[in-house]
Amino acid sequence: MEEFVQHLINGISLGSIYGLVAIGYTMVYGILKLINFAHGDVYMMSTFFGFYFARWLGFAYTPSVIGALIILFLAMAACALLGFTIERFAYRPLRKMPRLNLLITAIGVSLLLENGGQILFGADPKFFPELIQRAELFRIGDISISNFQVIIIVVSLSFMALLQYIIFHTKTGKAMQAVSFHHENASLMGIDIDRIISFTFVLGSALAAAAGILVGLAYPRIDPLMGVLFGLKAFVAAVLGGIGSVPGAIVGALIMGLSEEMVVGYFSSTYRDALAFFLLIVILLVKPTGLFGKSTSEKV
Amino acid sequence: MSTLDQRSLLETISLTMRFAGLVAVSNFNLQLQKNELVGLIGPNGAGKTTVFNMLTGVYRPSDGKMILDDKPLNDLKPHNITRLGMARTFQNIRLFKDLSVLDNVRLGHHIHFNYGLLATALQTKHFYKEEASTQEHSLELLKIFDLEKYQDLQAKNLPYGAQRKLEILRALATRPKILLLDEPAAGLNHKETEELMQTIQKLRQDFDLTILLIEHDMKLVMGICERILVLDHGETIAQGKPKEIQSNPIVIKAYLGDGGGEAQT
Amino acid sequence: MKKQILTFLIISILLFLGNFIVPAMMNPYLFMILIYCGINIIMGVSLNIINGITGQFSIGHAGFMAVGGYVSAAISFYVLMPLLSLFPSDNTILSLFFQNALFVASLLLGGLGAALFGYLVGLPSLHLRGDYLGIVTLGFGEIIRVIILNLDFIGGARGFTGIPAWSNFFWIYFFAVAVVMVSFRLLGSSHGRALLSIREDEIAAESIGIPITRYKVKAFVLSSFFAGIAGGLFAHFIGYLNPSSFTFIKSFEAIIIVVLGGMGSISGAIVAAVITTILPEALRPLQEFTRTDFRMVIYPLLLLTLMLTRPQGLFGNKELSDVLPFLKRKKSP
Repeated sequence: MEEFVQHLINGISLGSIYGLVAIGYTMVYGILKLINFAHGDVYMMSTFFGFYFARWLGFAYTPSVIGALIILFLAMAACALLGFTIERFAYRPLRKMPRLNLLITAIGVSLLLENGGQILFGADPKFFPELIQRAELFRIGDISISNFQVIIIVVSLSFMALLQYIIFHTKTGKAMQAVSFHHENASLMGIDIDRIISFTFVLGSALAAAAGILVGLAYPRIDPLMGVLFGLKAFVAAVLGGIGSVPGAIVGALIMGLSEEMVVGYFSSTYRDALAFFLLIVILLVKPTGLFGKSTSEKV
Repeated sequence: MSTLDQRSLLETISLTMRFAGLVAVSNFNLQLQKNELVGLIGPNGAGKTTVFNMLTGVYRPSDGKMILDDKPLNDLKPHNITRLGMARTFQNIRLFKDLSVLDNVRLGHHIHFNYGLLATALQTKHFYKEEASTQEHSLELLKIFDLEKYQDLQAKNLPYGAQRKLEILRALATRPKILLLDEPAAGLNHKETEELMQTIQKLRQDFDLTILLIEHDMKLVMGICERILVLDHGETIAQGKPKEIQSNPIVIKAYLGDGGGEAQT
Repeated sequence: MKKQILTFLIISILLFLGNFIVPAMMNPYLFMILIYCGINIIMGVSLNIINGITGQFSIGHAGFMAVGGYVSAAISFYVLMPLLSLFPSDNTILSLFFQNALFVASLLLGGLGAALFGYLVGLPSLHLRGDYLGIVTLGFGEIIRVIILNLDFIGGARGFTGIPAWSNFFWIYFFAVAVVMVSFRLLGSSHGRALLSIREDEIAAESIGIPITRYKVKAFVLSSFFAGIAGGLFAHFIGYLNPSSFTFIKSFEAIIIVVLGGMGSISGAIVAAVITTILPEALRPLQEFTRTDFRMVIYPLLLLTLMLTRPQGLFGNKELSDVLPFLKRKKSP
């Protein structure tokens, strides 16, 4: 039982990191119908931004909460800019093209970031600096909860709440909903579609960056290919929840984190990566639109 | 079949379609006799196309029965219904746009092919024979509307009127017993419409067809249909000979009362 | 029919001669590139059946290649090699013939294994459209890889070694030609047109009696059969298989070939397969010059440039015969 609770807590903390990345996939898909394969690499870039910023600013050697926060916001800003650039120069010129072209472009950007990362940072893994000292917050029997797990869950939840506020209570957020509903109509209402799409990428990339820094803290081994499988799984989480739906992405991510943790805990870690896809296929066969997705039917 | 003359070719019994509580078509009853040309008219949104979608298996009816040649259609997929001898056209033309005009008609023949993948890979004699006869047959069909000169053109590059005609030919190529035409004259000018209506009548003779025709414009079908059904808000509000329909006060009210059908197009 | 047998013989004889002449003409490195060209042609042209002709979206082609590769390698290793060792290996024509016949059987079985998986993956397309189908194929591909990773008798994560090197120029290009020819013939048939009609408009296709689900599954089965053959040829050429050769990056490579060539264009897929195989190698001198492997960056950059400047791919949906009309064959037996 205690073991189970421990896995539960680990799963939730892993799931909330997946959630931050999954939101980016789901928002971009909702608005452009594009699987943004480069999103996982934006998340990877964030850990490297964090890594170098921490070195240059000297936070790498003196753990402090302020330092960690500065690094977090710097990495988020850098990734927001990166996401903006990717959309502006790679995706926007192709928006009117068949979606497969857009998808190939996304794959191209993804390969560029991965391979470019290997050249710039080297292919060997690096170790993310300990921005905050790891500590055990409390222990009940065999259940141990570290400050990292609390930080991850708290930070993730606050960003998700902030996002929810932006989407439902600000003018830009409402414009985002309108654009994802129907591009032309939104444009007729006087919404600047380009600006809204840019904003979506900025927002998604910033959240992925937050996930990157949190992962850097908890699992410090970082390398330029770390975003590939992680991104894919976050995307699967988004599909699980019903792509296009932000709450769906969060729920899907939690399911993903929990089931992965349980498989590793009770079964075998080698099947961890297959589980994500197995889960996905089962869900899609039972309910093709995901848990929270709306079904659309074509008008004849 | 010996009963064919007494029984209707196509029959629907209180066919009903509901979309999430909204009733699109209710209690639709139709008996289509062999070789009839029946018009289905009504203002926009009356449920005419929904009837077609049920008959052809695109939608599964919420209630009621459909019987073609003694066979129930309710649980069949669209492609099976086509095999039983019912073909259709679409209101908003659905051609295979990037394929050639000839290929569009050839595809209509698809259900009458009987060579397998292996014969395709080896290009057997049988394969060539089938392909040649299809080609011939398709070209003959194209001649009906004078389209054979466009045979290599991509369908999307045809003029609008010709696209409508090509869609009819594609449906004809399946060798149907019943042809469902969904607003075949939409977007055509007056002269083209007249011509088309005449051709439709001629097709019925030549191919021994039974035709159910949706039309939005009442005047148009008056001339060629033997029988007309009028749909409004999913209900069949009248049916009978064109003369009777023309003077039916309920029909006139449906067309003029709700803000005028013409203006909604 | 006579003409066909003649064509078959001529192609076989040419390839057979090539099998001796070509390796002698070039250094092993160039020969290796040529071999990979052949395998990538099979991969690209076969994926084109699903993604280009049928308009479905598969990103799990590497999975089928892996199944084909591993199945045929396992059959060769565990069944055929012991079988062959029962006979004296005297390198006579008879024993060579016997060995090649077994090899082809092993390839075909690998192809069938892959086709079986193609059938399983094709089934969800009953319900799924577009991207969702794509994700499922990607998932299947990854699951296949993880399963292989956990199967010890075919090497698991260490890789499968000791596969007999029976593959050669002749067989690789024999199958490449076969796949290309079958693809062209498919396109000129009622079956091929049915696949195209699904790409164009599924509802209209059903309305003229085309069982679209069955055809989608057929496309998956045929395409994965060919990918499986490619896997078998690959396995028996380098004599070694590793699950990490079949990640979704490999599937992306196949997609890139299809899109670069132009969706649906067989000639395009062939040309693109050759380009994508040669390009990274052609850029190798640059690496020696700069001492950094810039190829990895240039390759995606070229891909991006191509998408931005020529999004319809090199050939659009045209074939070589549309550009050069004299290549068009007369349509008669």
